[in-house]
Amino acid sequence: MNNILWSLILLVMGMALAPLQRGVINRVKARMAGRTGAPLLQPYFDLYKLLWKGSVYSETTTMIFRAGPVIGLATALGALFLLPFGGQASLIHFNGDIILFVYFLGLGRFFTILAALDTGSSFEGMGASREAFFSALAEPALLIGMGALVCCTGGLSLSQVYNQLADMELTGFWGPSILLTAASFILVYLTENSRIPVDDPTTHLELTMIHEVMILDHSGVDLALIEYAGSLRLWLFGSLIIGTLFPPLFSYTIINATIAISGIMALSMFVGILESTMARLRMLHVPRLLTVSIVFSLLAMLWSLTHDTNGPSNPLVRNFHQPPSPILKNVNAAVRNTSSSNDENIPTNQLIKEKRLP
Amino acid sequence: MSDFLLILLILLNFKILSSNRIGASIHDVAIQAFLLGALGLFTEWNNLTWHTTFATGISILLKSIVMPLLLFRALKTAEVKRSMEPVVGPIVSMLFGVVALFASLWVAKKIPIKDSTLMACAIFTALTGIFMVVSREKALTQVLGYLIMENGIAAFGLVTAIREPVLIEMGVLLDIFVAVFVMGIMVCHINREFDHMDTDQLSQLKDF
Repeated sequence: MNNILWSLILLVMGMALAPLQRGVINRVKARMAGRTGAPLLQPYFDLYKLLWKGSVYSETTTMIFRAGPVIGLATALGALFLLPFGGQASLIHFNGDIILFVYFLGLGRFFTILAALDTGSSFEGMGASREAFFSALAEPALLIGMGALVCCTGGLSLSQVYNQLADMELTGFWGPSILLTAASFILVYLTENSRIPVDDPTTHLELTMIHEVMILDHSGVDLALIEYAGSLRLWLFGSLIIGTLFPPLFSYTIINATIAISGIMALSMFVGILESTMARLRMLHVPRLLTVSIVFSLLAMLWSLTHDTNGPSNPLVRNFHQPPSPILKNVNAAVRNTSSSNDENIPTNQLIKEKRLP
Repeated sequence: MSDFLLILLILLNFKILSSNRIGASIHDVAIQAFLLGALGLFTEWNNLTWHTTFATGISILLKSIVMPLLLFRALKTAEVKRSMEPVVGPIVSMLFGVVALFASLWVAKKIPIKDSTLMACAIFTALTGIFMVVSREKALTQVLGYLIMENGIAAFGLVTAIREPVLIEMGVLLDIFVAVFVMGIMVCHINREFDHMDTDQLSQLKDF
């Protein structure tokens, strides 16, 4: 009962603190430019203002245009219900909810693209096609990275994975896999939230917009829903990264939650610094960056699948005697049980090692 | 921490595969040679002799300092544009790198040796080098690919030659020295004759 209460509290805290990330990003950007900047709570004031405004709907749009923002917010909230935070399991967790999580976010993006195409405007069509291309490249990175984490920890549900990451040291046996996955997730975070170096969120030229142009025609309550869903997506992807880099090490939930929230705010500050120091990449070079994130994820997964269980031969180097994860143990046991003769049950490595000359 | 060294080596290979800049790639090859030398010293820490240390020091000196200096000098005298101009783009090169890594990990698992990850890294480096030789047009980048291949072979020697790893090092160094020497002269002559370093155009039968 206590756990469910904590999950509910953390869920509500996520919903409440999500727009603060945008405030932090804008404040950091303003400070780095030498200005004072808007107050930290400005996104809340903007959302409140937008809720009072009316909307103008074009005559070329159909019900998809009105459904887009609503489905965007609904999918973001659905993914939030599946997200573990601060070492607590999510409110709803089951085996395989990783796939549901990724596809919730994909569904939200799909309906945003559809709503943009529904307006019939050429700028929005252009932005929609670019957005579809970039997120089609980012999705394998996210899924394969999740696969690498599953191989490391052996849990099949998002909550299990992120809970067991607390037992893994970053310099230990699975360290390289976890760090590579974190690096890949940071690039996916920048892509899915349309940040520099993939997209400039402050540009006012429609030819250079990717995400902003898709929401150009929305106004009033629709725009408030879209902005809030955008903040929730920042929170979702941020928690994925912070869960790997600052795992829940302590036994008190409140300390873990505080560490996680400060980690997400630190990530927002990092995004602010990145946006102030870098320009957006040329549109032709963005696929290269996304392929790099796919390569990081693939490397993490290949590493966790084929890494040597015996360490290197040098005793000065730390010998990692941590046993392989339960998932690999089950797979190995299944493979061993299906082989017919007795000699094949011993892996080849150990056979040859015993016969090696000293 | 040899795990992190191996990951760093694999990532360096990917960096070279996806890069468009010759200067940065030469620096990467130098770093790769230094890391491999350090890894060699590391694995031999228990029975370190003056012989081993001296040979490793010579190989690091030659591969990390002297070769890049020669290559940079060749770059400067030939006055080429410092971009790679690959035949296949950076994305396809990176995807090839993934396939090559998968293949080398699979092959290394089949070979009955204790440290199969280092073996996989060695085979992957050699495959990267061969791919660089094949898929880049400029003569200088082909030399670079050859150097990467020799790095991979030296790493392979680290894993398999338990008694005398430095013997393979010496062979590799001789190979590299002759190759860079010959290639350097060739590059200068090609450039002087044709005003460019594009090996694709060497098969045209024109006089000027």
